[in-house]
Amino acid sequence: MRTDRNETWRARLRDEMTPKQRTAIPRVKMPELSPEFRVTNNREVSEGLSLEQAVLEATRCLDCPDPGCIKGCPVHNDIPGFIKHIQRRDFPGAMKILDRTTVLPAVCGRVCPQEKQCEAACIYIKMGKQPVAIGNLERYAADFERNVTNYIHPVSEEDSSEESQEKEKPRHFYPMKVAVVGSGPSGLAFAGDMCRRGYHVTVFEALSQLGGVLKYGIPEFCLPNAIVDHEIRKLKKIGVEFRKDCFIGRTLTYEDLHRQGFKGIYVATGAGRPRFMGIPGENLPGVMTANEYLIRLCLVGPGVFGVNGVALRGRRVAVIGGGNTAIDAVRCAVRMGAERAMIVYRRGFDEMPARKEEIRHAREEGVEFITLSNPVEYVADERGYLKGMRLQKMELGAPDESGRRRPVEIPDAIEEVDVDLVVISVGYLPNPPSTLPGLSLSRYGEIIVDEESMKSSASAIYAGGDIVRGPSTVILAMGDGRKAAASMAKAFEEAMEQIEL
Amino acid sequence: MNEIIDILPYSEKTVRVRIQNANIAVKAQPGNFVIIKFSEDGQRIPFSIVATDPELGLIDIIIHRGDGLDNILDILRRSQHLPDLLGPLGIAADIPEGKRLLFCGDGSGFVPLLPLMRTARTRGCHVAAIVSEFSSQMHCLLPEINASSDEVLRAEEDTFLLIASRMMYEGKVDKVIMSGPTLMMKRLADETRRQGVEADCLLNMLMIDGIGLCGVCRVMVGGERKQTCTDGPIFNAHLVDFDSMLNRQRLYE
Repeated sequence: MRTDRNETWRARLRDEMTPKQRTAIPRVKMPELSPEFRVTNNREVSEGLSLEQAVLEATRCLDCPDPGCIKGCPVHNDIPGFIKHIQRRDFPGAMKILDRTTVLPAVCGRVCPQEKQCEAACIYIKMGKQPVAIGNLERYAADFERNVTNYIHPVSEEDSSEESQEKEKPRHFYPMKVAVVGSGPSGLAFAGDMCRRGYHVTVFEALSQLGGVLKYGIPEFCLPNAIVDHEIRKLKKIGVEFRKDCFIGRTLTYEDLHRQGFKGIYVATGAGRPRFMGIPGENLPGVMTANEYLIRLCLVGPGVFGVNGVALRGRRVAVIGGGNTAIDAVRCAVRMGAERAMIVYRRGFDEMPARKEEIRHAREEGVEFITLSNPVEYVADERGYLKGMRLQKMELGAPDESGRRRPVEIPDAIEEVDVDLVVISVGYLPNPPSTLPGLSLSRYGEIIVDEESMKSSASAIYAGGDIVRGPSTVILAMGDGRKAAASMAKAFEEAMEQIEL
Repeated sequence: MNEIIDILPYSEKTVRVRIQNANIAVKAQPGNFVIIKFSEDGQRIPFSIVATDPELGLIDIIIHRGDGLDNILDILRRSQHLPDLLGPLGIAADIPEGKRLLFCGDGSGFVPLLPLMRTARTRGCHVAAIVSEFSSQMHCLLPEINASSDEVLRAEEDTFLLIASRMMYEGKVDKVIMSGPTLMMKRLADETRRQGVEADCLLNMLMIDGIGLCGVCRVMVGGERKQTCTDGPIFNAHLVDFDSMLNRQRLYE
């Protein structure tokens, strides 16, 4: 899917400056709201690059003949291709290139762990310099497109009927209908690809809002809901149909889908069932899951603090875990006015799996990091409410199978910390009910698929995203969706070739 | 979809609402519930499905003023379309054939029990009901309870447990099915356990998403953590940890 590096304009662009001149430019810094201001509200923290910043950052890209960044990207975005369009200020051109491989550029530009993927493979790393800000540039291109679209066709928030008028004529080349279960990143990526290939696609979502974890699990200050809505609107425009409040397995069964003529089903229901640690006191009032905390803040009253806020306000809030969800939750706690907002993590600071940028943001906002500590009990006061937690102090031992050093208990090192609210964020299990006859599941309930085709053991059912891999990232979920779309389409096309007249 | 077909007032405080949703009406089993959002920015509220008409594609729910639902009754209008209606959720009740069942509850507790009682009768069960007059909702539900029971006993808060206990002692009960305030269920569950009578309880818990994500409706059953929305709402009453439930529920009062 790579664009031609030797097009005249692009070769000329390369000749304008020597690599030495390019690498001398320091990485552009993303403008951010000040920590003091942003903790008072829900606004997006990273403000986005300015036009001149984006062009300057794009200039840094050396447009390598064998770019590592593309290989580092799970959906293989043509990274130098879109960046060079930004450099020559052809922003719609940049977006067109992104559109070929991703349905969620504005989302991925914000929430992808670029430091572990594309940017980790950037040639600048080998030179001991900061990589090209690929994520920021992807976001720039997507935001530019969205701002222009919204300027030309302003959308009123609830008026979805209007959308149907501006719908482009969907190009359904094939009569086959395919169903997507779940409207999270994996389902959206699959839907976009299948629709562009010419199939009729219907996405079923159990919740009342489309977007899955992008809506209920990622707070507004990291990923504004309006951005997710825009990406969904784009899919509607190309002909993808959406049905909310439809819980596949309950409202409609898989058999119903077959009966309604769906020839292929992509299951992308995610992993959102909260894990608990099984320690005393986890059911005390004052102990809640990160999902409860985030859903109440993000979904029940999007953008509105104070609504449903009674049980959500704590003077001293401890979030257990070190992943992205934990960091999101603790930053919500800061915004809810907590005096102490703490992360409690059993390994060391450097082992935390969350995005580095998020951790930095949390630090700037005054979050305390209690690392090498593992809760062993939540303690109640005489009325039965949570009042404190007992933390087992840990030290790092030999590396475990994940390659990270295993935390080991230090005997008798127990610390007590006073808390009003504990938010548990120690991982997720596959969403129930994912069972249907003939589907092989793992021990934890993940759907087992063929890694090449994403096809499950049941006929015509494909699966991907967290329901297959367990809690993972938006971009890997999207990659699964694209892979599944490619192999399902291939299966259809092979079947059509079999037809003899 | 989700059109309000009819609003039948039972009393000043209680109405029965008939909603059009063919998928749910066809799929719903006794014990299932739905989650409704009455306005775009409103809360998600669970309601038991009290009756269905699969042919016309209708489901009935009962809304009681109080329970924080005061303003909802004021804004509901016939032929209005509900923005969100999700269901049927929960695991259906497992109703035996030809047994003697005793249903116990207070007013709002009987709302989810009604479809179970009707099904029990069609399966040849003897259906007895003890209704306690804890709430004003009882009055308007009585005709329906009478219609789906072979025997209805009315009790006060203090005689309620005694009556149930005596019936079990006299060997008139194969299984107790209860729904109501947590404390009431805890006492009754203790009594059934003491007498060795099977018992199910139908829990009415606060829920947010209703599809197993948030964990707010979690409850310990036989030492295992269960979610009322996806594993319930009906559990073996002998195994439910009512004490921790009572403790948790206070947070959200």
